[in-house]
Amino acid sequence: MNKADNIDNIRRLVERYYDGTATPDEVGAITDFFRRSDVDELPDDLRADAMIFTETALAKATGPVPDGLESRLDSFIDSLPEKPSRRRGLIIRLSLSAAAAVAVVFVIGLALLSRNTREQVEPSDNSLMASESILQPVDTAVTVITEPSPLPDESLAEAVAPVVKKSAPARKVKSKAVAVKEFVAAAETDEYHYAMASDVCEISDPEQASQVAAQVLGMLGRTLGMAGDAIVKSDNEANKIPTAINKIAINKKLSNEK
Amino acid sequence: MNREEFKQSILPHYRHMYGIASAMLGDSEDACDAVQESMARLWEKRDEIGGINNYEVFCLRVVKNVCLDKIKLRRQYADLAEADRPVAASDPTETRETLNVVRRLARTLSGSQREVFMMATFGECDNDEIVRATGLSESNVRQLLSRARKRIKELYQSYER
Repeated sequence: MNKADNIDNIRRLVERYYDGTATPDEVGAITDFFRRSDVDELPDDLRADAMIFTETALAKATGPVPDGLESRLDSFIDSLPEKPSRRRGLIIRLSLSAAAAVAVVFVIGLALLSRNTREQVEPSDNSLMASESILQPVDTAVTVITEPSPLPDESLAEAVAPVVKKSAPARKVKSKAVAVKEFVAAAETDEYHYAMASDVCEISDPEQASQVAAQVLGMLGRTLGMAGDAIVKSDNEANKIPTAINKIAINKKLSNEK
Repeated sequence: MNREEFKQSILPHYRHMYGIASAMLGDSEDACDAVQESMARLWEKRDEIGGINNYEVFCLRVVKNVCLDKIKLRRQYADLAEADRPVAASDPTETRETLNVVRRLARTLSGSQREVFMMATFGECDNDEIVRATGLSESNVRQLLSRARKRIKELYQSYER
């Protein structure tokens, strides 16, 4: 590229610069050109630009610095932890997740206890039972032995109905204290089962039982994770409230000024 | 990279970092905070930056991003009417003797023009970065930048005469 072409190219870039469309790379190219050029040899229309670009480059490279900034930064670097602590947001997230986990476990525990006390009037099995309704999302990974219903055929329809319905009348006539006593007694005599829905299956193999337990714990973990995410999301939304309020206040102030 | 190595390779760039922060933020105390925050960010990444050749470029990129974050935050919370007033020099280091002529002329621009001009000129921000930091539209940023640069040229030409 000869000198005239080069000048024309710089002119085009300078035009883009004043149009506000030049990229930082293009601005860099103009600066480099002017820094390498002798201002007296440039066309008149580019001389002021050359001075401005040169002054700007100078301003970037050198400038006054407040006294004591270097020592302040030096001390600051000394105070930085060797192993950077985890970000505050992560700590909040973990705390919220832990709180959510405790809350969910508490609620599930209460629900199980409540169901157990309702079921204690219908003990019919002495094995570890698990509800298929709980296992449904992960049932492909678990082998569950389903025991035929011990009830006679005519009561089959009744057997598949929710267990709660059957136990409801019994609940009315039993006091809480008596129910708990019977629950404990049934558990001690191994007559109690975890009947949480109509489709109940029995797991007699301890290995399978442990697999089922692991699956249930996995589900519980995922649920807790989702609960934690939801809480963090709510927290983020809540953090936007001050910004929104501020915007409204500014708009109001502007309209009042008008 | 240990603490001593960090001080030897990163700390010397604080002057240049401060210059960019001061130009972009227009306030000495904010600029000092930005440099300090940049040091903290660089410290967190010290294991990643151990192998790079040009620490200065990396430091300047970090301080620029810190300044963009601060401008964004300031835009969110500042009174918008206030942003359009020309400001008096709040940096005690910016005296007629020490301050570069371009920066001195830029102080006469209106708030938004000055902010956009300084971000583009000293922060080397492209228009998209300015749009993201300020919340202004792309055409608005381009227009403000165009007017600011033309105004600086006019002022410079009259200053030279």
